[in-house]
Amino acid sequence: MANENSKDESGFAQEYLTFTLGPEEYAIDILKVQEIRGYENPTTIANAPAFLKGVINLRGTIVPIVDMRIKFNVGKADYTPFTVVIILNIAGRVVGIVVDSVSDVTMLRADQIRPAPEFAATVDTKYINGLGTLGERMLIVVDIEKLMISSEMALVDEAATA
Amino acid sequence: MSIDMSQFYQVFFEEAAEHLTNMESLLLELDLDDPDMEQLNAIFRAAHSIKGSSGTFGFTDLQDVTHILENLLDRIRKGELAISSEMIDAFLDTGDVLQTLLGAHRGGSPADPADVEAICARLKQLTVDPAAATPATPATSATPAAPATTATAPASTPTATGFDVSFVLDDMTAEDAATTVENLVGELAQRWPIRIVARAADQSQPWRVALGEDADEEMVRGMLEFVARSDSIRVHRVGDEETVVASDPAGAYGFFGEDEQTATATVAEVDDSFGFFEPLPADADTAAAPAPTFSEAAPANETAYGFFTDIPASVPAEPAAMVTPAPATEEKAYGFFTEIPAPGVDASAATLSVAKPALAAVAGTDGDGFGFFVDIPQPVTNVPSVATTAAPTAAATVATAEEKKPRERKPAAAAAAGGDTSIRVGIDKVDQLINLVGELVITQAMLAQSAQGVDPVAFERLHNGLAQLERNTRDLQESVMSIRMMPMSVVFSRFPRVVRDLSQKLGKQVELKTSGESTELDKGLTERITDPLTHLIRNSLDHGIEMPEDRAAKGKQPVGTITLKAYHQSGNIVIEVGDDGAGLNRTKILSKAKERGLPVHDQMTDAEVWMLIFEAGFSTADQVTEVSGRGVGMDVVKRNITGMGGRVEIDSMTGVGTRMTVRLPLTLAILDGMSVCAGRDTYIIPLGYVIESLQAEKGMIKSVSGVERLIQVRGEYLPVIALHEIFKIPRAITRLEDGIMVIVEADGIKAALFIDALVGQHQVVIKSLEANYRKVPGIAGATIMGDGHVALILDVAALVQMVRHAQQGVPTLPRAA
Repeated sequence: MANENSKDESGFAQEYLTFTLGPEEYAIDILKVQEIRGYENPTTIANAPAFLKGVINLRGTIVPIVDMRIKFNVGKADYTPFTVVIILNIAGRVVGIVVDSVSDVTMLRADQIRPAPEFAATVDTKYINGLGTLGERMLIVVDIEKLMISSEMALVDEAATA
Repeated sequence: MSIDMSQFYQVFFEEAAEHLTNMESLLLELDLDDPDMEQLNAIFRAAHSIKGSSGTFGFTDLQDVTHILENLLDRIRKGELAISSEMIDAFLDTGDVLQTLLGAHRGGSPADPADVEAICARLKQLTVDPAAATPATPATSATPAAPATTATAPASTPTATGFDVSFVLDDMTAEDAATTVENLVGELAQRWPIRIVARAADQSQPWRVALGEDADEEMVRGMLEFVARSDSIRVHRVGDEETVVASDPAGAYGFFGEDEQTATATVAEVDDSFGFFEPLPADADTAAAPAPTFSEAAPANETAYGFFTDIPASVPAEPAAMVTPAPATEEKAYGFFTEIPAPGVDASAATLSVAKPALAAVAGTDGDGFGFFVDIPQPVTNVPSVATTAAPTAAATVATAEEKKPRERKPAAAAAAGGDTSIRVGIDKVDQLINLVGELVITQAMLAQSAQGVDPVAFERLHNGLAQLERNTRDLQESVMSIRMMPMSVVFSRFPRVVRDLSQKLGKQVELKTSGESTELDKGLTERITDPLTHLIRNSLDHGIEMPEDRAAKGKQPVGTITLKAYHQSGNIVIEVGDDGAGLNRTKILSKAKERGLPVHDQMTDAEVWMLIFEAGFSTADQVTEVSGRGVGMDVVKRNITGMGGRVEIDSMTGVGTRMTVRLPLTLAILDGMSVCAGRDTYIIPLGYVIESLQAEKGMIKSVSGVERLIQVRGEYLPVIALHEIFKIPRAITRLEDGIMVIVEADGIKAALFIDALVGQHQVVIKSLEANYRKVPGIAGATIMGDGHVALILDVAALVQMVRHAQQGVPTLPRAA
């Protein structure tokens, strides 16, 4: 983490996709995003954690869908025609995340991202790169790759992560 | 236990051909003035690969040639020799010879051994002294002299053929050489025209006789073997117009003559030898004279030519004068013999105008054949192979040279035409094709579904078209799928050899039984499963099967049995490696595990204990043997299999045996499935598991300890697996009488799968859940239904497995690995 910060202090700005979960705004590295699409009912998977809504057919590929609102325990997990799925491409795997809405794409310089204080949250702070300030907005910058392949998400076989 | 290697031959042929093509293009690209090291290495590697694999498959002729080639290439790439254009030519010709040999093994008619010998000699010569090849060119200048002789030699008609036989008398008969040979010649003369060409001076020197063309080579050999050292007998076919034309007297001089006089006499003999077969009295001393000189002369020259090079030295009459013509003499000699062993050589190659191949041919055949060069290591080593390869063709080619030529041309053309029966395509291309076809199938299904709502009368043509599309799509899919599928026999057939070698090494008696060889498996998997399976078999052999005496003591058959079985089970292919050996030793494994500090306790189930042997570095072997015991292997096996998305299970019983079961996913498999629904979800049950489906009646359902867990079907009590309970499916039918019972069988266990309703039967493309998600207990994979939705394929085997645990309470799925 310290390394990343020092590297980022060179003033190098990165593009982030911001989305909302309830009242909170999150930012993820835009390079991990494959596409954004509407929500469709997935096929549920037995005995999967509640946040794993199931799998969908994305042009012939079976893609698991994770509802971030349930995972982060924010907002109401209801599905409207405006519910959005962000399809991520992480480490060669395709995963979809359900969010309330996608806001925009913003540039964040390293000095705009402050380290997140240790706080008790449903999300382990190790998956949060920091808190980005953009005017009045506070963006929670998530290391989406680290989060998605974590054992906590149980999206990846233990054998594959080992 | 015979091993059928022939099925690997095709692979070998393809590879070898590929290497040859590769070598050829590299050779052609090579810059002579500044050869690229990388290219040289690549050429060397190609030769090396061919040599290695031809050796493995027992194609010694290919191996021999490539060996020489490899040696030469090795020296070149090490910078010991400078590459020359002669070498490139030689290499390219070698490539052609190798192609011919390959073609011969592929079922074409046999390659001409003379070509092979020629190229070997040429390569060897290049290895020894790259410059030695050069005299070949000036040699042609000798040709003009030849016709003169032709005129005076009526024998040199195209029909003049015969055999040139040389041999060294064995010690027994050498005592009375003259008489022996006389008798022999007498014997031979009764059958065929014969003439002594050269007499041996002492017992270490060979005799040479010329035989008429109708001589039976085998018989001659047989007769010679009574008197001669069998390894010294050389029988060469000689004759043809060019041959005799080339037999310039000068060649004969050097060869046979000690002084001019004798030489002249010999010339006559040589010329006559093909026409008049009268035995000529030659002075034994004459022939003797060159011999001592020869051994001195030989080292100075390239070995194969030593025979001829000593010619001038052995002519005391005009030593100085003869030195210069020497190379010419040599050449004539070449020409003389070229056609003899090489009936298949192109006519132009046989004549002196193309000196190089001719020269090479002689170097290989004649030089070695005469047995003159006993003290020279190289030809001697080559002798056996030359002799053996020469023999069959010589016997086979009794026809005249004129007849032969067109015949020998044919196989080359035939081989070229029939060679391209398979192409090698990148797996990724095939995969892409398979994916595309998969998409097509889905699209087709979608179309079919939408068309169901259309009035079949009004849109008859549409329906017909769709029906045809369905058929075509299915055919296409099957063909595309079959590209990647290979029978298990490809893998299994390697094991008899493994078992045989290993059991011999270990002094055990083992029989290997295989079944399910025709089970098809994805090619990628067959390649990757071979090593793990080999490990498992070695392990069974080394640790499982006991020594014959131990087995006898236990009242077992002394011959142990290892069984290899392959079969399909839903989306899996199952490969079992079983033995009837000692079984795993629980106590030993546990104590070893404790020793190694692994977290174990005595209450572990057997299955858990057995899995310990897959721990890295775990070995219960008391002794580390060459075969196993180092504890490396089993963990690798497990890792490899898991890497393929499969799993290993062990069943073992002390004293009875061990069975290792490898389950591999059939990622590409297309599945015949029954779609069922439970709640709002659709699931696919692989049809292979389904026995029947029925609706339960009240009386059929029995309860055990107050829970309705059993259903009585035709006298059998089957456990009920309620899908909605296991998968926690909401809004599903819960009353057992309201839904449907699908009776399934897996691993010999029957169970009733309780679902809401049957939907239909489909062919589905198995899609991996693991690609983007992970393995889900109870689910074998996923597929995309006609409406674009995802349906999960049930892992019936895993579901049935739970039945075993069912007695202990509510069924739970085993944790995913």
